[in-house]
Amino acid sequence: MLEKLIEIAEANPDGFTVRLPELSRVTKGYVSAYLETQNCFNIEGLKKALEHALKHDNVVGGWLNEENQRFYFDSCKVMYDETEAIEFGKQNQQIAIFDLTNLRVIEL
Amino acid sequence: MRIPPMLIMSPDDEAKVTRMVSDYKRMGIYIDLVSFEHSILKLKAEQKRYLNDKVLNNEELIDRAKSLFVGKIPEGIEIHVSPVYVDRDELSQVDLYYIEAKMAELELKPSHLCRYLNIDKSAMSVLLSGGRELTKWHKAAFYYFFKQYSLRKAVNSR
Repeated sequence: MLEKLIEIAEANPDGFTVRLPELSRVTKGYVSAYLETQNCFNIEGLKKALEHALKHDNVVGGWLNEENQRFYFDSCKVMYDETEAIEFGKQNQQIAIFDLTNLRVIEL
Repeated sequence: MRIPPMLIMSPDDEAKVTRMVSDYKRMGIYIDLVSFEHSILKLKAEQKRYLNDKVLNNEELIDRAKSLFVGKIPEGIEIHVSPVYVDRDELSQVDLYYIEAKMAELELKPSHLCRYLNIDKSAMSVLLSGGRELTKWHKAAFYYFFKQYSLRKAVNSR
């Protein structure tokens, strides 16, 4: 699965969010990353994010930090209630969460 | 997104904007800074990928871009957003290689193009073999056809 995620990251240099184990794109709901997978980049970061995701919500994401050109990975939670998602994001010290249904970033 | 120094923002706010621009890219929405002068911040916003069946309209693209800066820049600075629906660089690159690549990507045969574009087989054959130079109209037709076909395919695959 690690190799497949690397392939997905290479094919999606601007970022992605996928559900494990099928590696299908997450297209609906509110998505927040977990605090525990902040600052996970490169292969070691991917391993950490994958391990966390497999023990939690089975969602892994990746994004490019344009400031330092590092590709970061995170373990994410998908929720379907905005209030719950905002609260979860704040608890996990996120700058923002995504509303994938409406393609909107909600700043916290 | 490189924030110009003249646009006075706190380091925290700059970091937030940079991160949220990355977040939007992750969802297929690209927001770029065009210029900042005479107290006008010009941005452009384009939906380049279709993550779900949601296609943002002008108003929504403008809203997404503006929301990045609201509350973070000094009062008196206007934000102008240009929603982009045509990638002029891509449009200018439409040639036979582009058409061939798009057909392969979208699993289309020449007969499909004939049907969808209502062009007869012999005319399509001449075009695709390079027997006739592609005019601007041809290029525009192919560009927009592939764009809408790609979107329809993404929506139908859900």
